[in-house]
This record gives sequence, structure tokens and C-alpha cells, in this order.
Amino acid sequence: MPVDRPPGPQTPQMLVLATTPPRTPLRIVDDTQDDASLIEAVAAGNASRAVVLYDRLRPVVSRTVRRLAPRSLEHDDLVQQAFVELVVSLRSRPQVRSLDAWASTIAARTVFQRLRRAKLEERFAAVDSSEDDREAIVESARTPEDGPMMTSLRRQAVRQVSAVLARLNQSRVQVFVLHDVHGFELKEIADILGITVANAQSRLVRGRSDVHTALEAEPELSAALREEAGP
Amino acid sequence: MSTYDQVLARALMQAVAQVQELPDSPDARVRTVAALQAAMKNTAAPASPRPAWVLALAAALTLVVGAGLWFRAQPHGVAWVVASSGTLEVGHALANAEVVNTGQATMVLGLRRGVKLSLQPETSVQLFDEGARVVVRRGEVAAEMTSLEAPFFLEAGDAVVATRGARVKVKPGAGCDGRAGVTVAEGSVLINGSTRVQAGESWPTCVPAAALPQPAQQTPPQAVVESVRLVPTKRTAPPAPPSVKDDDRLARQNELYQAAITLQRSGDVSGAVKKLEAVLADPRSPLAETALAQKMRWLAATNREAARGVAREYLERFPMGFGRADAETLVLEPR
Repeated sequence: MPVDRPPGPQTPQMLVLATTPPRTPLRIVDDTQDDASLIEAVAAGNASRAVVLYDRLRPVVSRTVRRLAPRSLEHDDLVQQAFVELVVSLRSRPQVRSLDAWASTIAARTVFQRLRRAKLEERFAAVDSSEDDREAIVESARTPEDGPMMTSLRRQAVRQVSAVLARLNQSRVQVFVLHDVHGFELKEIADILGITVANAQSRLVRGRSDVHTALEAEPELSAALREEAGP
Repeated sequence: MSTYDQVLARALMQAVAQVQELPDSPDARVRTVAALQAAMKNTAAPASPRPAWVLALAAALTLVVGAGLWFRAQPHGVAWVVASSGTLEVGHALANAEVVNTGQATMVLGLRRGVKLSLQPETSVQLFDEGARVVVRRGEVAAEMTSLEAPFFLEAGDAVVATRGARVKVKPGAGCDGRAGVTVAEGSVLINGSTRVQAGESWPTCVPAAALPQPAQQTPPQAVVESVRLVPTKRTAPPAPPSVKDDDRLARQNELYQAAITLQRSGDVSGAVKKLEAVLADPRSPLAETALAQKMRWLAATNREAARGVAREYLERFPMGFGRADAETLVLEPR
């Protein structure tokens, strides 16, 4: 269930052959011609392309950080750290083909590493129990036509959802949210959380089941969700 | 009918999608670009590839001088690059399930159990089961091992090659009718659990069409040529470069896929799925795997039952594909 992410990193090799010289198995369908040369420049240590790399990927990195990190963490620091990690990873993983998807994965991994270091692993934005973050999500989710009533209802719904998710096993909820809400693939989630794909798969199935059971026990919330989803 | 967890995920997804990047500040930009420049300088790759003879010498020395000790000394990874004419450095560790693409380079990998794999250019392999099983997706791989305690498996197309000690070459698509070709130089292997192939033999053993009894209807000359050409003991000619017609077809596929992505991003999932179906309508589409995986994931948000059907199709067509874990999760999840 991808939200606004490019397709995964794997792409048939033939496609690459059709559009680029065969030496660069780095591109994917919605990347530009420049991506392959950009990755090559990073691998070759061509520092003059740093600005181009920053301008090219800053939106996707910033967006991912903002969607996953609690507001209490310094956004610009995380973005900077993610960029440095990205350069290091591109040096050691030259088979990466989609720059956007890889940058997004690295940014998410950076967020989780920071949370782990601060022993705040369960506090990523979508299920964070802090009042500031809930308000931030409500604020972000507001559309211009939302009146005070709608804003209040949304705030209440987010509060209830956060409370339900916070009661569940966080290692499962993380995978559920990363996969079903943020659209990361299981392989990417394994990379982000430092677990195996099989483990991610198992956590996802159990996480979905946990969420399902928890929501069934909240008739008001499940009714509101049904209404939100429409017919 | 959507379940509660799906409805919640969708609602959260819509909320999260509203969260966009923060505006860039000049100060943060200057600091990050400076950090990037420093990181790029510190992680620069070697400027030029090493000469082939240096690589060969390095590989030989590494293998001869205590290869066993070297393997045991490695704390992580299931395999290591022993020699490479490409960008991967000697000693680079490879993780379980990692895919290795050689591109235009050649590469020698050492596996933890003492198996040596030589990879030709344009070869792609994936390592599984801590290096006990290797899937060859394309290209050509030569494997060498002696007196293993447990069998080592090499998979290519329809062939599963098992051995405890052999020198064997495997090439997907080089056998009869596009099947994998297997050539054994030393020792013996068991193919698909039933066919024993000894040193000096090849599998499958194709009979050239000229040697077959003449059918009632004249066989087109092309078929004879194909049949003879595909005998696995003979080296086949390198594939012809993509023709202009192929380029057009791929460009069209790219356009359709791009349109699907655009529609999905604008919220029109059903329109996006239709575009993917147009991509999949071409049975030889190079984007088939990606399109099928994407269709499965998009449908999972709206129609779990349909997504399960797509997941089953994906697993049938691409049993070792990159979306396998997601497909299995969908197929196996409780209803």
C-alpha cells in the first residue's frame, strides 16, 4: 500500500538495457537519466555533485523523516544524517536501482537508529503517544476546508487510534505501520529495522491481526473508521 | 469487504500522505551539503579498475594461502568477493538473500562452506540458506567444491543441481527449449533429484532435429537451427543487441508503467491498476514482475481477495521474485 513512494528497488534488467548503456544497472522506470550518473559520481567521490544530490533527494528524505520521526527530534539533523548514510550506502551497495526508494529506506533507517539510541523506538510519529505529535499529525492532515468541528473530530479520532495502537505489541505495530501505512516493502522494512524478512513477515501478519482484534473491541472507533472509509 | 485493520491503515495512509517535506532553510542546506561533500570524499571508490592479471593473482593467492582459515575468520556474511573486475571490492561481505549482479565485470565469490563461484559478465545470482543454495537468475556460473558434509544446491530455471563435490557450470536458458544448461567437469551432480550427471557430461541431452525421424509436415528450417544451436555443450553466440522494435516496445511499456504510477499518486488506484494490466497484457513484458508486484500491493489496500489472487499468480510466475515475501504474506494471512 504505497502512499507516495516510488516502486521498489528491483526492476527487470532489460528495461535498463533499453534506455541506458549496459554498464549502469542503476535505473528504474520513473527515475531520470541523471540518476545513474549521479550514483556513479557518488561512488567515484565526486564531491562537486553533492549539491545536485541534495537538491534531487531532499524532498523525499525530508518527507520520510517528517512522516516517521517524532517532532521532538531535530528534523534538519536527521535529514543531514540520512544524506551521509545514503552516500556511504551507495558506495557499498552499487546494485541499488531506484534512488528515491533507496533514499526513503535509508531515511527511515536513520530515524529508527536515532530512536533506538534514545530508547524511544516505539515512539515513531504515527503511533506516538506524545500530545505534541498527535497535534502535529492533526495539523498536517487538515485540509483548507476543514472547520473547527471537523478538526476537533479528527483530533479525537487520532487520539483514539494512538491509544489503541499504543496498547499493542510495538514491534508488530511498527511493521504494520511501515508496510500498510507507509508502503515500505518487507525487504525494506527488514533493512530499516535490522531484522530478517521472515521476521518482518511474521510481525506484519501478527500486527494486522492485533490491530483487527483491538479495533473490534472499540465499536465507536470502528464505526467511525467505516464511515471515514465510505461505502 | 475490508477488515478493520485495512480501513485503519487506509485512513492513516491518507493522513500521512498529507505530511509533506519541510521547507529547506539556507543554514541547513549549507551544513548538509558540506557534510555530503566530506562523506563523498571519504568514501571514494578506486579511480580505475585493476588490471586483470592483478585480480587473477590476488584471487589465486587468496584461495591458495589458507582459504579455509580466511573463511572461518569472517564474522559476518555468507559469502565474500574473492576477486572482481568491477566496483565491488575484494573482501566485500554478502548477506543472506543478497542479489549479486556482475554487470560487465567478472567476479569470484567464496562461500562460507568452501564453495567457490566464478561469475561471468551479465550474471545475476542470489544466495540463500547461509550460502548453501544459490539461485542463478541469468548469465553463467561455474561452481567448485570438494567433499562437502551437506549437499550444495545450484538452481537455474527448471534445474536444481545438488552436489557434495564437483566442478560444474550452470547457465540458465542454454539448454533445450530455453531450459538451463548444466556441464560437469569433475565429480558428479544430481539434477532435479533424479538425473545423475557425471564428469564430462552435459544436461539436458538434446537430440538435434536433423537426427529425428522426418515428420509428415516439413519442419521450418528455423526450428532445426534453433534445436542444434541450443545443444548445451556448444557455446552459444552472445545475444543480439536490442532492436529498434524492442526499444519501441520497451518505451511503450515504460510509458504505461509511468502512467500507472502517476494515476496511483493522484489517488486513482483503479485507473492505475488498469494501466498495470495493460503492461501485463504483453506476455514478454520486461516489466511484468514489477507490474504484478505493484498491482498486488495496490489491490491489497482496497480488495484483499483480488490481491490474494494476484499474489498467487505472482508466486507461480516469479517463485523467487523480489515480492515473494509480500505475496506469501497475502496468500497465507488468515481470512
